[in-house]
Amino acid sequence: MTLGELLVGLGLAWQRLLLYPGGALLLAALAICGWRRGGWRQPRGTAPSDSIGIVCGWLACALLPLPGAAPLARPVDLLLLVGLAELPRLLALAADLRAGDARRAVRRAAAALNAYPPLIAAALALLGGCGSLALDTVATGPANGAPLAQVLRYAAGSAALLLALPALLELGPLAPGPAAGGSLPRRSLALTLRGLALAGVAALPLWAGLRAGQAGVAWWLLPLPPLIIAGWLWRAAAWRSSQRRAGWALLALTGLCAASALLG
Amino acid sequence: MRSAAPPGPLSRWLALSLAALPSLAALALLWQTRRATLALPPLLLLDAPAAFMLLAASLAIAAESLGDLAAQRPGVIWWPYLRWSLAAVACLALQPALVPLALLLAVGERASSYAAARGAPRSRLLSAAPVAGSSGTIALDLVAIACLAAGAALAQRGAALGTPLIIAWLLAACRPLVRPRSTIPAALWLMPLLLSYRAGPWNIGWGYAALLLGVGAALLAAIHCFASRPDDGDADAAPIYAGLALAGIGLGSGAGIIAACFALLVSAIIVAPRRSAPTAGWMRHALTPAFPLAAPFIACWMVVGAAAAGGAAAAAGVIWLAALLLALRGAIGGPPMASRGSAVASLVIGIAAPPIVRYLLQPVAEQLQGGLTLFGDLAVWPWVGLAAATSARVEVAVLPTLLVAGMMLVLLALVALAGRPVAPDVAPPGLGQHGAADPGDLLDQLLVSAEADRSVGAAPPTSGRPDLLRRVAALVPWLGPREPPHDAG
Repeated sequence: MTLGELLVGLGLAWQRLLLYPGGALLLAALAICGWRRGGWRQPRGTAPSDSIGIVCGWLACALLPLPGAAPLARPVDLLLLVGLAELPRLLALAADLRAGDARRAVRRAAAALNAYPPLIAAALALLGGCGSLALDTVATGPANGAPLAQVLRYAAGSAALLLALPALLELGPLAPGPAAGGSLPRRSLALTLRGLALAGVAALPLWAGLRAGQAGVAWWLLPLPPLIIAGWLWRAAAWRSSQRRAGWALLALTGLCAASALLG
Repeated sequence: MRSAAPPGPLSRWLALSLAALPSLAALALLWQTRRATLALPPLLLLDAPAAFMLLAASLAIAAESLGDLAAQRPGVIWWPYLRWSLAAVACLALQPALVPLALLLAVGERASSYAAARGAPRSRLLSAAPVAGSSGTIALDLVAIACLAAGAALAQRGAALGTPLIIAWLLAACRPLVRPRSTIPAALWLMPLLLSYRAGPWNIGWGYAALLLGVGAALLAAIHCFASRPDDGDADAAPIYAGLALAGIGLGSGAGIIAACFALLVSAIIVAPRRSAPTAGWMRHALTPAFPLAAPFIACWMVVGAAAAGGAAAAAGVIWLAALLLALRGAIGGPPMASRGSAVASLVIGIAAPPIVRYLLQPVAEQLQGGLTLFGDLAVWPWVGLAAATSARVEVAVLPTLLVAGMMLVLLALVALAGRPVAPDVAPPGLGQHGAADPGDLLDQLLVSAEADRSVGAAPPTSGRPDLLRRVAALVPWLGPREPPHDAG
């Protein structure tokens, strides 16, 4: 591939970046961040580190191969997407520490550590199921006529990713909690974009399941995966438990998923 | 150690040149040998793998000497040159026996400097040598060198790639995996193991052993790094990259060898201890796998991709976990003891990974092809990115670094444009009480302080980090034993 082709590839990516899914998910994130009880407010995010977080979250959203998205010159993989999605959380953690809010930093770091094993196990199960970590392949799922074990691995990976999503998004028992003074901090645009990107990744296998060998998903079924994920996240956010207990649950999930990925 | 007046401009220029020249020479040798082996029998046999190891060792020595220069150590200009000469002898020698001999000389210098630090008479040259060692470090070095010598003796007697030889090389390769660090670059410890692929393929059992050793060492080092004190700096990350390199070598595929070489390159540039001004703000994430296009991330991605392509999915998962742990530690820990220049170098090397792999690392794998397996290859799109492919040419991991960097630049410009009118021009009074180092941090403090009621007398940001890590570990079942009652949210 030449330099000219790289520039062409960049030029063709504008739809992904600015319209769909990048632009659409950015609007959604702005809506989630800005809409408060009192109406619209300016979302935070002008400092250099905030800008980097927003860019990484936005790019992670734009790289998602959602149904109907324009193709990219080259696909990307789950490793890059997780890397892009994790940077806003790490920047938020560093900001908590700078603010002297050690409790939120501790809970945020522990949530990350609890969420990593099931995320990795889910990714390995997806790798075993569809043979690649490339997002396009993950979104396609196992080929027609694939062995049952492969399909089961893919299903196990999808389920584990879905179950680990509240931990990845720091919801419920894994939430960082209020700030040092007791007030809830304003929602960060970068973290919201990150959450949308990870939810999008979890939705990819669901769309693949709905497709079930057909060329595409019926239009009226397209909103189903986001609705399922929204309902699951809403339910998980209301779950009250200690973070360590949630960590044990996630560890058990990791074990089950890893066993299905490696032994299945 | 004796402190002295700062070096003048001429000595600084001379030191910079002497530090850079060996690396440039090694680069030229690598470029020269990428198509054909340089042979001058019976004295010299230089191929791309040996030239690359020389380059990695030279870069590590140069990075360390530049750190010494920033610390204004007198006479330091001669020290890297001497060490590089020893490394060159080790890499260029036809006789494997010269490898441990050269390393022994290097450790001899280290032992002399240690003795000098304890009050023994010393020369000006030795006073400039890094004296971070201890008797335990030297003992470990000597044990590893004894293993190298045993391996060299076996190889000289015409031993094929049998069990004793590989055990000797493997034991020597364990030296960079353990703490405390040796001043001898990791490339030199791993070199015999890498070059052994010249003689043919390994027994698959030894491949597994090296893979398990590398992966396990990387994970243990990442956990240790996570729990270590912040003033240890980036030095703790060194065994992780050495573990990645060993795992890549153990995979025994083209992708594994390329990943190992890239990890050694990253280790040489990123991990070398610096004594110059530390980085601050988001750029410090470029020195860990947290930043997706930085060199440490690419190194971890390569090893994960190579392991996944080779069918070692569990190893890929463990390495991914180690990378995430290292990234998290970078966010929790204090600022890495590395310069802003190394952060920029990390970004440049990471984004430019495809041409680096294409023109510098692929020749290494190609010249070792006779001993490598087909289970995993690294495909390069020179102007776009990389892909790890299986033997059936299925791409298991794809990373278009240049394309993603371009997209990131576009979005960064848009965000900067949108955020400009909102940013305050004047910092309010009272800002900077936490000692933020750059305007970005100051603005972060402003934003955070506006949204969170900070308690009076809150702990400064870098105090109590070991306690913080202990509290984190207590909330994570696979890291800590108990849960403290106050965090039982």
